[in-house]
Amino acid sequence: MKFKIFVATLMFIFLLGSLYPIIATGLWASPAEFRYDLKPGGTVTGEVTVKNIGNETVNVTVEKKRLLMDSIHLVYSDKGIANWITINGNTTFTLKPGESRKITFTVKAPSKINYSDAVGALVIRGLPVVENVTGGTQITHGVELVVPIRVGLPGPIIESLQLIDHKAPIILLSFIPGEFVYELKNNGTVQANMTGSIDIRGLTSHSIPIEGVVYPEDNYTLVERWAPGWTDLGLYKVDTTIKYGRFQAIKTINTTDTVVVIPVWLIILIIIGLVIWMLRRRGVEAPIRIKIERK
Amino acid sequence: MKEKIGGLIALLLALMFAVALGAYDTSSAATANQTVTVSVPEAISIEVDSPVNFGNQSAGGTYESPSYNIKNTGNVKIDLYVQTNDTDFRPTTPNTEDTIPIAGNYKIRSNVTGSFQQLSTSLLKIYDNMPKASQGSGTPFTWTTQQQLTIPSFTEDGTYIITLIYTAVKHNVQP
Repeated sequence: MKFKIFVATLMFIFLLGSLYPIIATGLWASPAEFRYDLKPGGTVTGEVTVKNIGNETVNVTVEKKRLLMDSIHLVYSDKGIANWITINGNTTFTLKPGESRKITFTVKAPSKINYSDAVGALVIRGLPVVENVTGGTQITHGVELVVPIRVGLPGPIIESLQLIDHKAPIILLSFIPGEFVYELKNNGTVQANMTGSIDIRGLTSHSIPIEGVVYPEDNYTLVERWAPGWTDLGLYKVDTTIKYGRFQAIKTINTTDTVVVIPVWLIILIIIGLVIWMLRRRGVEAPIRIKIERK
Repeated sequence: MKEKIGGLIALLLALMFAVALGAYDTSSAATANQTVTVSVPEAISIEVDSPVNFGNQSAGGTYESPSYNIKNTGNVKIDLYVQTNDTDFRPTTPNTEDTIPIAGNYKIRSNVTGSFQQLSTSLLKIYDNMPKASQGSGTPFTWTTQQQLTIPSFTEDGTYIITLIYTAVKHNVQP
């Protein structure tokens, strides 16, 4: 009997699955990035393969962009390296499930430039062709793949990363994350590869690693989060060290802040203490009093 | 004399046979190494369940969508961003004038913050360093998330749609 119920349940799930199939939108691209070393005026050609891995037909558009990336933002620009890239052939086409297409592009470096590292990208977007509107409030999902094109050019190596501003929380409560924000700008001619850490020292010690890349002429917002635990209490000294460089991270930027950590259990204890103190002061007696006497 | 000649011939034949055998069977005398190389290219890839439907909901309430999956189907770690293609949900039903603005009303659960984050037409990072599937697992890394929508009070009845675009970029690796 149990076996029959089991088989019937399986058949029901199968029928339900065939009536309401899971539709997915998906794209695949290879390689995932390109790295070129070019001389001024030099050109190079690359090829990327795009495949529709979803189970519905998608309209694909391919665009060339300059990438502005940091730890929270991704912004496209049509300036700089975006103008060095040419996409050969159609930039819009349709891909059926399982179909693939090769996209070729050419990068031509300008003859004169005042920086030596740049990052552009091919931005490949796939949107479902048919929008199956079934009523209510509906969201169609599209996918987009960013294939970075990193270009290095010969020239003077000037490493210069400037800390424009930084913010740290003054007070933190247990389990509620606080944000440490660092606004940086690359004034050099080469990319600044960053490493480092935010060291938080007090009753207990914590270390948050830092990593990222800032390209010449770019602003970069570095955001790191930390949430104190049960055992964190009192004053904490926050030392931030950002090491950077093109090939070796030798140069450093340092900041120091102070954070007060108030644990939740301390707040609860204070509230309980205050309530007891107020009740005693007003002479309020407990509503039930139990007295045990010997017979 | 004849016996000696016969013995000599037999000896010569035996020597010739031994030399021929040695020349034929070279494997016991030498070894060769062969280097086999294979290149596995990087591939970036994502797959998202689509579409997501909040169903029929009353105006003046806040609702959560059914959970849906986003998969890293490539072989590199990725950062995942999301943006809308419009500032408002637009009606598909004719003669409907209202729209549902996304500002203040439309959010997605982010893995970066662990809470619902406001959506907009700018790219919002919702997953930092999404892992690839472990080698040979056969199943891509899957993350499940949800959306939250507030339908303003007195919104006209009808069907409203918008498109969300999920963007994947290889997780930042220093050159």
